[in-house]
Amino acid sequence: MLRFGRSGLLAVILGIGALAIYGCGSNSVTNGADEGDHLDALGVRVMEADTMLVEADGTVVSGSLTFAVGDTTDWLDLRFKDDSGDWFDPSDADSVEETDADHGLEVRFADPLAEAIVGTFASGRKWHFRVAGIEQGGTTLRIVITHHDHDDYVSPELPVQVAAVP
Amino acid sequence: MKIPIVEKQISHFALTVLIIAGTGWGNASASSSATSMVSSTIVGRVEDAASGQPLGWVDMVVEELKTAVQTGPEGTFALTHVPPGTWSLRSIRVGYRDALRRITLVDGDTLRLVVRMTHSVVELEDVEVRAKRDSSGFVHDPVTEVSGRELERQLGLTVAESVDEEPGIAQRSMGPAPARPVLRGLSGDRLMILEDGQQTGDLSSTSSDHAVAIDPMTVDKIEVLRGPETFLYGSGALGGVINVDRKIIPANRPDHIGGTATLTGESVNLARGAGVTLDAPVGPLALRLDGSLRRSLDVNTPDGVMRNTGTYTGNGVIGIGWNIKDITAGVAAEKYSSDYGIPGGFVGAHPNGVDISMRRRHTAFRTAWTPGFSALSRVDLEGDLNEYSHAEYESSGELGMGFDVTTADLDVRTLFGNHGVFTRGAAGVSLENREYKTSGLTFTPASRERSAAIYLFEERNIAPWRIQVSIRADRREVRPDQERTSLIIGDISNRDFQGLSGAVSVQRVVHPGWSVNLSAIRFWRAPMVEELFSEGPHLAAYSYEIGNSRLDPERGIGVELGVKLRRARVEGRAAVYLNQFDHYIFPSNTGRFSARRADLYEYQYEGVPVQMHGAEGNLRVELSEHWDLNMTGSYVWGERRTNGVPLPMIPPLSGTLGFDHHLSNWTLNFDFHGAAAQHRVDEFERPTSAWLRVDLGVQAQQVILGALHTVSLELRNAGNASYRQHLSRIKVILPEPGRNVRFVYRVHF
Repeated sequence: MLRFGRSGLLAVILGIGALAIYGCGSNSVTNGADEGDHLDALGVRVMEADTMLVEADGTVVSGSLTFAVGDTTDWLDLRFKDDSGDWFDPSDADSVEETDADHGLEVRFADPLAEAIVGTFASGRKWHFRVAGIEQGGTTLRIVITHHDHDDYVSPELPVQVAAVP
Repeated sequence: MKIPIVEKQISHFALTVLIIAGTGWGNASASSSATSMVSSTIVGRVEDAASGQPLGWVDMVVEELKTAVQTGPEGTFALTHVPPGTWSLRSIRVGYRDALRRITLVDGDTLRLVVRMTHSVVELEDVEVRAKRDSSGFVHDPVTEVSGRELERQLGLTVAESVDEEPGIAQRSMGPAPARPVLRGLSGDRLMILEDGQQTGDLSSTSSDHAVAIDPMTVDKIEVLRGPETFLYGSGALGGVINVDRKIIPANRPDHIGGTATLTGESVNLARGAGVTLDAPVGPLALRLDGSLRRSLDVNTPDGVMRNTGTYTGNGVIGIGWNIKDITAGVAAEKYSSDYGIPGGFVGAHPNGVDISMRRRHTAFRTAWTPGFSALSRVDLEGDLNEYSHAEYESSGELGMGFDVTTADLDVRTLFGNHGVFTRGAAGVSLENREYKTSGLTFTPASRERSAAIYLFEERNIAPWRIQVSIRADRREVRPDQERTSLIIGDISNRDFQGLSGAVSVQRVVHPGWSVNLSAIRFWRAPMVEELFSEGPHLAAYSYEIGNSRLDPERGIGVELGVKLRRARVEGRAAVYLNQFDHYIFPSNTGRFSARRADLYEYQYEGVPVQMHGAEGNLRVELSEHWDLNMTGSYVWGERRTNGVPLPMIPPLSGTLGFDHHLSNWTLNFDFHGAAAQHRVDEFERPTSAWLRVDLGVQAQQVILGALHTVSLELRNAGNASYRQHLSRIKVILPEPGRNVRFVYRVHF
């Protein structure tokens, strides 16, 4: 019958040692994780200079965007609402850390009555967009903050009115 | 992609080594010689009564002492350190009638025995109790057990897949890897999954894309417990307890080297796996080694390839046990890792799927004192530390969500033999500390949960009656790292819960081979931190989940009436049950869009009155010397009591019909599995159609060169039927796996 002797005991010690070394270190996936990785927004305002055009405060929407077929608006600014209820400008220097190159802005229309031109870092217009009217009618858009291949923030549907050619 | 900094630190594995080196070995070797002077030994051989051939792999159990050893290939065994006295020695082996002998030992004796066992396809007993020991020595009575050849035939990628042919059990899935059993429509923490009687510390109960951190490749058996004895493990497991018996800490020193080697393969995903267990005597110690590796690719279905469903799983265990007089002690270290994919491309899912990387490190110690008194038969002290981490990576490699959960458990349990009016009993205290951290897309705050429980289980067994009673008191504290008020969740603050639970079960043998059982349970479950404070998009469920910091504990009552039958050629059981919850905690659609993700509906956890009732049963008939018939069936109905709206994820009527043909060492099986359509669905749930699947299998068993070889070959879904399981989260895109050749080879040596 097979039995382990002293060499078996040694093998056990070595085995345990190997497993102990194998088990050293941390499994953690949260240690060192940047809590600010994801942009924490609870609402959005679309601004033209100092004038608020449309706002989504949580899921409550007020105002609308109106422009004409063939028109392209000026660059529109954005403000987002944070978890403490304050509104912040994502293009402010203080916000850069939270809105780094990993984040992107998308403007998604429900119908192709209009299209959006979204600013970039390269153009110096990140977190700004402009819209152009294509066809007369009413539609909606959503402001979306993307983070790699998922969405950090998706606004409620914001009303859009594309007027006839003036 | 952000890669967390790996901290180099002395791990619990290293501590394990220190414990072993510092305390265990020196003491064990020093006292083993003393032990032989005050205790006795039982040695012997087990053989087939008809042929006289030696029988290997027979469990030899000293029932009063809750100690056991298994015979080797030559049918021999040795039970050492048995105290003087009169004991019941039971011999148990699959396919044979249990043999029970009363033995009397005088101090220092070595008793030599020859045990002859009679072959029986269906066991014949008047009392339908098939008592089994768990690692802590508690003898329990599983309603279902999958082991031996049956386990080898059903062995799958997951625990759920390995038991889903049992009555009342379905599997919730989201691709093949994260499958989790669902029992009587109950999942989550209402169905506990234990490894050697202890929780694994994983997050499989919280979400359908989280896998169970146990690889069934090398397990001894999987059993389902229900009724009063589940309160030894928890207060809210109304569905039951699934205990995966791996024996990572050997309770007895074997007298020879033994173990198993297993190879598995599947054609539907080109899966291949290998596992080894080894039990060996090393000086005065018992050594257990256990390891497995498994890899699979994307699953093929009749309608196409299910992308991103491959898996890679590795598992390693080293355990050591030793006996010092009437004290048994042991430690084990275990590491489990799994990388698997969650498919994408359907509504609500991540567009490109998610890759999940899961790690679990487990360190355990067990000590048991077996004084051998009738009233105090055993005292167990058990500790477990589980460090679980779970990262969900997007296709860009970015960490989408991350979880770190560290759980420490300490249990003290006392087992009683005959005392007062009771035949046996158990009482104990359980303590747990759980640290919970998240990162990535979720906003759930880091929290600490502490819980304590005290319980009592008693059994009176006087033929033809058996009465079991249990009572348990629990307290749980939830402490978020920072108390604050969230615009979404509300107050994130300390919560304390306490509650009483318990059960009564009465069984009566009404006729030889027939018994009737009536049981009632009052259950209680404190909400988990995920249910209280979670916040974040759950793309798999097309929802934005929000905790409810004001939740009350889940509680209710359950009643069950059952009948069991065990005759010479027939065995089976059937049960009907009714479960009523006052606060059934689940995420309910609020009808509002999320402020953060206005494309996702908010699902907020709430506790609502719910009723679930159903029936299940199984029957096994020995039609002739060579043919057996097997049938199972189960049905469950669940709805909200306030408005009658069906609960989500309730399995439809389902069943199996199978024939086994036995030829010498060969068994052929023809099985039909099916389910009815499920049209009783929740508001946003998709109904499923009826389906039927045919499986064909062959299994051979042969002793070659002193080792027992078993080969199982199965053609699953022989007709390549395209069907969808109702509890599959990805049923909207693809059906279940297509025609599949499964192969399991196991050798016991």
